[in-house]
Amino acid sequence: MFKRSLAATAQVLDDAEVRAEDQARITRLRESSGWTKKILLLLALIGPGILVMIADNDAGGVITYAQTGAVYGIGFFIPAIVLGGFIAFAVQEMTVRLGAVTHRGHAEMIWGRYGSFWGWFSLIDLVIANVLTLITEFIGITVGMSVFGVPPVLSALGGILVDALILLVLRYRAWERVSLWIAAGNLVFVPLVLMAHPHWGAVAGAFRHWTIPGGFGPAFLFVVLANFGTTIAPWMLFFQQSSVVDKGMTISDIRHGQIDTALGAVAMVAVAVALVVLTGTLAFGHSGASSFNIERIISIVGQRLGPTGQDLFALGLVESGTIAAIALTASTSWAMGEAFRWPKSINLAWYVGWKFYLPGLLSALLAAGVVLIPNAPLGFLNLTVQVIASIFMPAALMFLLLLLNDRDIMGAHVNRPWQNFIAYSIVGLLVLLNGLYGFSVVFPKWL
Amino acid sequence: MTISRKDIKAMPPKEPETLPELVKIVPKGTIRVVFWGLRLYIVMMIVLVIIGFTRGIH
Repeated sequence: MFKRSLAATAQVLDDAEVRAEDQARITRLRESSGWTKKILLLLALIGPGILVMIADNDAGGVITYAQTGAVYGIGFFIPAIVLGGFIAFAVQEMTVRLGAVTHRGHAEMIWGRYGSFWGWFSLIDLVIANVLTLITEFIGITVGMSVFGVPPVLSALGGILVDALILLVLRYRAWERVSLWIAAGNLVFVPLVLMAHPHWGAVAGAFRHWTIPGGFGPAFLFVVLANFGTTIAPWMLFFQQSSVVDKGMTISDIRHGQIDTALGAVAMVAVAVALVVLTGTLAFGHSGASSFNIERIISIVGQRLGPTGQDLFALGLVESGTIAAIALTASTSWAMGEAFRWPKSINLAWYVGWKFYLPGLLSALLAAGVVLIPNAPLGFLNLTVQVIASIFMPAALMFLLLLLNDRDIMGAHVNRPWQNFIAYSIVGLLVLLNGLYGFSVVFPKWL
Repeated sequence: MTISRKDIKAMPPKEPETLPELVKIVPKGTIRVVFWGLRLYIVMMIVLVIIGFTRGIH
């Protein structure tokens, strides 16, 4: 028993040493002059921001954006997505500061500062939302791989294996680099939209004439909530903050963390707009477009762009599911580790940190199992996830705002008045949208 | 770039063991109001979503 605990302590110290090595490398780069060193420093420090934003364009997001384009065409949602990018940046930037200043994850901060009631609330909320979201990731992986004739059991198993292997075998730095390479695959939707030869004038026109297609009603509100739900989600706060902490970022790294987050937001918006324009060009106007599922959309992409287009779309769907599964699994593990004060780092060897890795991997396994249940209402489940996430988001944001205004823990890095103005406006917008949705449920004829 | 032991030792420790203890706050004033508002909001939204889904609004 004593030997085992000694071995575990040695491994945790080893984890500290790995992180210290990374930090020493960063310090050396920061102290060096010259553009090459500056670029190397940026490359070394990017990661959490790009990962969180690209993982946010997950399989559920790809499906939501594709359905949105098919139903509403190139119109209201393109400016809304661009606005969503700014909102996502404003929110995620706060997690960089919070993580870099406190060196603690989001779950740990809520638990430690606001007590176990809100700690449990956030943890349960996060874990349920993560499992539901993971289901949509495995939907994406199995549907995408079915285009290549791979049976769902094999593709779900493959997804789990990739997720588990890189999490258990690699240490943080390698895990992050491999994940970034997988994330780069998300950009496949950009050349795909170029292949579709969209009407760019109509895309630009969407910014000039911002009108609500089909009028304002419960169905439209549901799609708006789904789109906001896919732009910002509670897991993103937990993921990026824990990632910043596990990477060992400090106050001196905040600027690079902000650049990292901005780059991620640009990539996220580019891909989301590409998806809406793609399906807005190829599938909008088809009879029955409002009930198109993702299989039908893939089939239309194949009819209009040929097998290459169809394969690229399917690959994009698989990639988006895989990268999000990687992020969600890590986010669950980090949050559990922080809440229960387990050793919590991707630098830990699997046989030492098994307690930390287990919750994340179990959630992925559970989600993959649900997807394989015959006739599960997967399309409905996907929209439900986005709506649930957007309903819980104001609560998650309030904790973030309380922490960012807590001078005892943030010191000079507390939110400035203009940052609070933006953040409270975002919370207000979300509460308003959710309230309108609720109103439309109770009084459907009034909207 | 080679990293020496000296470099590593020069780094400030960042492990949770060395972090100051987080002190739980006692919600007062605005924070207390925010927490009750959150409770109310969450209960209301859950009820509304349940009504929405049972009526098939999707």
